Amino acid sequence: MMLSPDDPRREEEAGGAEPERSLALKLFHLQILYELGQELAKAEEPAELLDIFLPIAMGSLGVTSAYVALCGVGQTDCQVAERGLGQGAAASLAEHAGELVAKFFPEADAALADPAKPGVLAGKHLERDPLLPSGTRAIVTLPGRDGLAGFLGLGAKLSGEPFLPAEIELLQGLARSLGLALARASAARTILRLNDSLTAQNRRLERTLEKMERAREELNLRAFQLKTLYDASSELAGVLDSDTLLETFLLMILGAFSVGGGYVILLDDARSAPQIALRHAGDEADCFDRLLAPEVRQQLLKLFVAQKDRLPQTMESLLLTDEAGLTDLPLPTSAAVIFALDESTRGIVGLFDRLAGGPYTKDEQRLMTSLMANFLVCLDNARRFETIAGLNADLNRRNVELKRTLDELTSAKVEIGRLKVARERILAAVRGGFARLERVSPLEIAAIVLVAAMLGLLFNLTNPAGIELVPQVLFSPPPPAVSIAEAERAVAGGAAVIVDARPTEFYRQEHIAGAESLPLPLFDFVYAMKLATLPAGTRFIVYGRTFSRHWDREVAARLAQMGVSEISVLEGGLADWKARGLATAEGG
Amino acid sequence: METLARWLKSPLLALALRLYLGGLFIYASMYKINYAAEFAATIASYQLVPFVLVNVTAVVVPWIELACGLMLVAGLRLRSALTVVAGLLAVFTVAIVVNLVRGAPISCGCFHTVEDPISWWSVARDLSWLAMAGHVYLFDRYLHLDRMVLKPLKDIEA
Repeated sequence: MMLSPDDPRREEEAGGAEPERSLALKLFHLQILYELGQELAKAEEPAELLDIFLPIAMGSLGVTSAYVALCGVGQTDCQVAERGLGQGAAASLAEHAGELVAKFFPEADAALADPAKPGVLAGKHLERDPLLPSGTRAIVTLPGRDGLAGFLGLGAKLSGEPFLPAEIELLQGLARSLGLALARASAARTILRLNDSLTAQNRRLERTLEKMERAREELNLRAFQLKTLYDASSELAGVLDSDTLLETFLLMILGAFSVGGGYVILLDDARSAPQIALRHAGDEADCFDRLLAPEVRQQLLKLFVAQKDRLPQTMESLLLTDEAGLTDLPLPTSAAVIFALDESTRGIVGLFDRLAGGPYTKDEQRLMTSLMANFLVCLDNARRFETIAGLNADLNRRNVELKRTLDELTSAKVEIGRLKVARERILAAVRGGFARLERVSPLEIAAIVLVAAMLGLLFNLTNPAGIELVPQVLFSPPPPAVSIAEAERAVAGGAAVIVDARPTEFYRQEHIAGAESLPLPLFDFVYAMKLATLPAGTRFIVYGRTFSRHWDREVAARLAQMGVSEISVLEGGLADWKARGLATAEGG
Repeated sequence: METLARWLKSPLLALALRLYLGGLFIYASMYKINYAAEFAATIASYQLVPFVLVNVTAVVVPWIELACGLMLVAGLRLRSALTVVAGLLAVFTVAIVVNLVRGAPISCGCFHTVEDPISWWSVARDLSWLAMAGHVYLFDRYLHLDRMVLKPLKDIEA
């Protein structure tokens, strides 16, 4: 059962107390409350508050023991402070405080309760509650906030009297003050916690800002590097000649890292001379000659071998700074990047001192590696392009050769065609020739005769013993002819002689009786022997003529040459003579 | 008999006959070429050639004989040459036969001017030469100059 200080029953219990005494008591109580408020204002932690509160409450009410249990709503573990309880009672209270809070001050009631008037339970009946420490005479609810609930318990007064209404009121005031102090402390704690949280958040924010700043810087650097890389890529990608590429890359890397000068050497096992790009403020020609020296190749290979397991593989590069091997190089090289394009092609990018001095930072080394990777890709491309260009040139040359060969073949084919035609003609001619061999050709016969005739005529013409083709006797005037009758008369009269002009064989066969044989071959002999002696004026009558020969005329002509004047040719000759039945003779 | 037939058809025999005929004609032509006047008289004695053509014939015929004789020996245009030879022999034979029938007291004049008078033996001799020419025409195969010239050309066909 709850009792409030205004309860009329409590007024009755107090009995008719004097007003002065009542006022003094009230003043005393108010002073206590004031002091309590002062004291509680000094502390902030609940434990401290309870330590301050309990002695003042005990002292002001004159009780033997007092305790406070504070719990979060629904919590079993509660904070307990006590004065005057035994150790076991305190532990038991701590154990059961939650239950007690729920029992005496259910949550619904707590929500409805007036904070200015905390509920009080007082009386001996409280001793019977097994959960409460023995001797408890009153318990007061502590108005909770932020989910805190609790109660204040008081033991018996030293005087053994029950609590007066004024004391109950004081008790309420004490409880309210403690509740307020606890609420304040809780609020302060909350503020403190919030403050701490804010500070922590601020710190986190600062750290985040720092990180952001660093990230921004890093981003700027990355952007710069990427831009450099991009520029390098776009600039290098367009270069397809490896010599120009080496030059371009060298200029770029000198610019990107602020280096005063440097060189690039590319060694290809397949080529005897290295490819070199050089930028040097001094005598460039002299430096070039030094890089071209044959021992440079050995020094570079030594530098490669010295890297052992760091040796760059295909399309890899390695930045060397402060290497012992760098001092052996022909030009004062402070840093170098060695690289391998493939198994047979290696090279070095040698860099002189930086204009601003100082080492290469990690970022710069990374940038260098990226640039080198780009460079190697471009160089590989350029060399492939050169190879392709070389192959193309070779192909073109072969094409030209092929075309020439083709032309030659074509002309050869034409020639073969002509030769075939010629062959066919020759064969046709040969076949014709063989065919002609097998048959008699009138043309050939005519040719034989013609050629023979021409040769014969020519020979006869040039031969001193040649003969007349047509007998000249034909063209001389024919000698006078004499009839057979006249001839017969003349011979009979002895005034004429008959001469047989035919060859001897004919004469022997048959001749006119009395005729003299005078064949042409024997003319001179016979004439001299037989006819020269004839008397002058003797008439010579000559006969002897055939289809083929006019001996009579020929002999007559010879006789005329001999000076014979009377020469006649017998008309009709031996045939007519015989036909007339005149005498003939045989034999010589 | 068969052997005889084969022997008679032998190209070697034909070659021998050819060379013989060729030599004969060359030999015959030599005298006639050198003594054209005498040969003209011989031709005239046959009384078959007109008076105007006797000398021309005497000049030309020996050269035809020479040419054909050379062609026979060389194996050149053999069949044409043989035809000419056969033609000449035929003419000579006919001429002799005609004059034998006429009873002309003439010598052959085949090789020399002064020879025995023509007779049927002369005809038989000329006929045998004619037969030889026929044999050569039919069976001769060896040592032809024109074949030897054409043969390598024919080989390009292979």
